[in-house]
Amino acid sequence: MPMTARELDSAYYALWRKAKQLSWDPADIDLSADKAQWARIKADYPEERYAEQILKLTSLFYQGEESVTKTLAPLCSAVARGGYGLDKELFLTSQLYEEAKHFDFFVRYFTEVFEIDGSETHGYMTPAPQSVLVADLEEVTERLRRTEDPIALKATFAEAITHYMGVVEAMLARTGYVGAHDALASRGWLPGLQEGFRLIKRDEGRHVAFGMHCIAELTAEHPEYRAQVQAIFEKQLPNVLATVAEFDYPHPLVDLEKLTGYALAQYERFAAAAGLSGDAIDLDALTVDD
Amino acid sequence: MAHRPFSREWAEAFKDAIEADASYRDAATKWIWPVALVLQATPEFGYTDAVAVELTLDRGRCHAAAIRARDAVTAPFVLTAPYAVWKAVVKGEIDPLVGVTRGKIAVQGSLATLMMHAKSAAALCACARNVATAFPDED
Repeated sequence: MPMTARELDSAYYALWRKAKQLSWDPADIDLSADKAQWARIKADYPEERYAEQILKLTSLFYQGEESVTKTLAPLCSAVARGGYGLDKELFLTSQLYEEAKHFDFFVRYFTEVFEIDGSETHGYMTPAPQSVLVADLEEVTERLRRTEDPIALKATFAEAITHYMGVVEAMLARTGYVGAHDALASRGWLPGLQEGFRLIKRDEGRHVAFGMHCIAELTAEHPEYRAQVQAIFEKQLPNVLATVAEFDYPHPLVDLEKLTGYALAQYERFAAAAGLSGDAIDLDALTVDD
Repeated sequence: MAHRPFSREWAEAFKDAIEADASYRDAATKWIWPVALVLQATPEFGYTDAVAVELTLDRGRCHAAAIRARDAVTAPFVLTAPYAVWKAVVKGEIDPLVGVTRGKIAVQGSLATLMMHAKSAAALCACARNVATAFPDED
């Protein structure tokens, strides 16, 4: 089936083009300085527990990236089965590739810098991150995979977009990468990890933009979906806030107030895109890489 | 004249402070729900039972501020905290949203709606800083 002129001119297609232009390889990131610095951070800051905080942060990213890699395929399938547009299908193929790359980056980092097995990241998955990043995301995407009725498929797709792009990527991943990058950059620590965070954050910006365009389109066509969107945030906000609060240490590595403010700003933007707040949002600006 | 927090006089002064605050009026143009701030029982400072200030808020205005027993509160949004936390909020030492996100202030009602109007909630609590308050633990 050929692409339509409308699809070729869409925000989804623009995001797909951007994804192709900004491709990167986790294997190209130089981690040599990180290895030496990591040994010093572990030795020099026992009271501040900075090493523990960095391990916890990266463990949640590791687990989160693994989870989003495993759960994106049902969204790709739903777009194809529901005939929601080739432009969306193209973009989601780039996202699937990118999520796998993000996970690959953390696998490499744990192996080469931390020198620990990725299975140890499970130890940092307390109930809140486990629920929002893994269990509840699996539940909604698995339900999407099994849904055949076209009307139910679209409604479930809206739920999955909200949880995946609105909660996990906008409120947690993007917020976390901003906070973590700033924390490391201000101390001049772990330049390879900083570079990974920067590149992943850039990719996540496109993913979130895709989700916001989708949810704006879906809720404009079906205003009744707004109640579902609201219900998902109602359920997941406590998990998001509890996950951020995991980093409330006596000597916090990340600026928690800034992190919380950023997460809430992301929520406000997504809620505005879904038409929940009555605030206008410039969706065209979202295609600009930030 | 300074008033004891969560007293009838203090609630009235809080209402006047909200009404006089242009920042709150601008930040809360879409906030239309009553809010109750509940102080947990603090017998050592004379609060033998939990007590609430219930604010009738509507699009940047505060039409009434009433003192109620906790069980008599009907507001759809209820924020509950111990004395030390409310004192820190009134003094501007704790951002109320940070209090909520760190679990120091418990929320009953739609967290999603409250967070969507985060600036409004912060501006509301900022008004309390303009109320002359006589804290009983400082007597």
